[in-house]
Amino acid sequence: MMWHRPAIRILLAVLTIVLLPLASSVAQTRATINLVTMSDRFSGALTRMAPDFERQTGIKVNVTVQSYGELYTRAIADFVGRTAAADLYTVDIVWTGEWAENNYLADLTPMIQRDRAAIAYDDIFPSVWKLGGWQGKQFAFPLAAYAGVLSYNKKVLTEMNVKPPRTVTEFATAIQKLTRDTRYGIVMNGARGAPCAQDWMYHMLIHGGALLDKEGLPSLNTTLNVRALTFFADMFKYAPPGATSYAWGDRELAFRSGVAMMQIGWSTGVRAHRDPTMSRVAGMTDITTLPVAPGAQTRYPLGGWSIGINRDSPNRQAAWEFIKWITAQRQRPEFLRLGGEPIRRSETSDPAVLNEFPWFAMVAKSFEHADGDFRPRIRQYPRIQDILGLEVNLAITGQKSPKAALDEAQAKAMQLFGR
Amino acid sequence: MARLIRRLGLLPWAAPALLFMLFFALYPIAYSVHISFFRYNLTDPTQAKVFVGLANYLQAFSDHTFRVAALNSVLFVVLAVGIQTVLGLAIAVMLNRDRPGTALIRTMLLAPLTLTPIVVALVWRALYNADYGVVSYYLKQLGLNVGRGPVGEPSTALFALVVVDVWQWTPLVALMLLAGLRSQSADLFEAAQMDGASGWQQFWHVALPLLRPILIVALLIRTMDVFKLFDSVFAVTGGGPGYSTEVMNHYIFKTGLTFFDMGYAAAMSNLLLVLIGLFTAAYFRAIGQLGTAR
Repeated sequence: MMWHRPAIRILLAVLTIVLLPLASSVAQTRATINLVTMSDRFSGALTRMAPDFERQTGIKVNVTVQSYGELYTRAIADFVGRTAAADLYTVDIVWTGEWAENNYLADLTPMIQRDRAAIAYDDIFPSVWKLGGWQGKQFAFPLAAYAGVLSYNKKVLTEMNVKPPRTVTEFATAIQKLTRDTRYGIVMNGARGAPCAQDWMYHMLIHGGALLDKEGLPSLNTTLNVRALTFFADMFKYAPPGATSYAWGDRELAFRSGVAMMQIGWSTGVRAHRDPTMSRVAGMTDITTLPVAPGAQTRYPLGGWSIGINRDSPNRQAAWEFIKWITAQRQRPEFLRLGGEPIRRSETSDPAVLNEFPWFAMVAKSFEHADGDFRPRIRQYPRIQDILGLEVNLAITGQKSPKAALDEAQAKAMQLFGR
Repeated sequence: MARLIRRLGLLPWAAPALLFMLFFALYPIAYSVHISFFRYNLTDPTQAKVFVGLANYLQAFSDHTFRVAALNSVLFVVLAVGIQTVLGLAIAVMLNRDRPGTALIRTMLLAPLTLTPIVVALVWRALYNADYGVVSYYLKQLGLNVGRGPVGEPSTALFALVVVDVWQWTPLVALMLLAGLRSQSADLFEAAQMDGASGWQQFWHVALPLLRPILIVALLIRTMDVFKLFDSVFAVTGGGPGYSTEVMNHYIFKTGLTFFDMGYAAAMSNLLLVLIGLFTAAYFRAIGQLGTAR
């Protein structure tokens, strides 16, 4: 019976050749997930922490960083083509409605309910659940939340005996008083498109305006909104001359270089204001809540990013493990240190964290009362923002009156709702 | 019959090129024409693809932004291609004479061409900045009121972008025309000289007519390229201030790849294709008439 020995050897060899790559490919598909993220500050944290996750769990995370527009285009192409090119996407708060209604993302609600204790659900600011939350379901998990704040050059304001403004009237007075020669009281985004539309929306908010009425229809040309646009356009007189072409990077640069004394923006920019390698005004700045118009209530804008699982992902469980890990209380201090932003009460109350990021106390106050819908998270929002991006720009460059610009915007926006 | 068989025998040799054309040129164009007759928005929850006939084309003609974008595109082509042709020809004539340093200048001419258009756009964005840009600084030094900066003022923004295009692409036109001038036989100019032709007459009546085929190619390449203008608008102005730098390609991009309104974007793309075709035909006609007249 010696004949069977070579036969067994040959059989084993064949099985080894056939099964090894198969086994390895099975292991690989189980242990590798693809994450596509926006190139914001937190993307550095995701990239640098992914290897730690792999060491702890054996699940490899390939992180791809994309610009805002590229991320959106790539994600939509992936969702519509059902190619499952990525398992995880970071989701801007304003995409929530569109992505949820189109079922692009897996519903995380059952998993969140199941693991409620493990994820310390109640530690996350209730308002922050708007990041990824849509009509009672959670389609993405909050990752990095931003508060809309007024940043100011404390040193110059003190020298000029100007107090951080609490009201719109004080705000206008301070802006005018702080403007001298090549020093400007304020800087705002004026570039056509999302930059000027979004910056005007802060001003709409502080004037008590809104983009939608109670029925959920556009209300762009209300008296309050026209007043807000008139104010916004007027304030460009006290901004650097090129501000009508500014986008976020230019606005931040004008503030950090000490050219402009105040700006309204997301709290994620604060760490750059305080970084002496990036800022000429490091150690001289502070933040406060937004001023408010007479009769209007104080509003606290909320923005930021969540992380969601592609509905077509074959690696849902591994992707969920990563979401739980990166948002866990244990990982958050490291996430914050590497460029992330908070979502949890424990992050903004931990003395060690506050010692490193003292402005988180103000951010926490904002999150407690935050309004995540001042930019409506509806499917039509990108179109409304584009319409406003053109009309607001026409108003601030003197090509249209604020009233005419918003009347036109209203007429175009109503068409999106079939009216 | 023998000729047909011989021709069919050659088909396998042309097949790769034909297949390439079929899959990468004809099929996309045909598909673009097909979806232009549908209302088809990729982000529509229903994913419905509704036949609407010519509605997308009619929408384009009644769309104020599209009409402004088309006018801006045509103006941009006329200005940019016109300036590039005149400047390119002047540079080519100057470099056609062998003088010390000419070889170095010819090599340096290649530099703008080696840069990615988006990088060029970002550099010019910084140069044009009204507050810290070098261009704005020197304009102010000359006593000019730059206001919101060259790209911040509605009256100057389009011209500022034309300058960017001229800076990057004039060398290409110059090098093409220089190659044409270098290939012209010296005998013709000697003969003209013996007939008493002045330098200007030699250029106008001998060199320029001989350059005609290369001039057509240069004009066509630049016209098609400039109609496709995207990078500098996307990176520098976003189409603003207001509508002042909105061009067709940028508007099509936004419609198709930001709002995923594929039917309407396809219709506008096809109209752009027709516009480029009209310009091409006009060039051939004009240059042809120039030759006949001469």
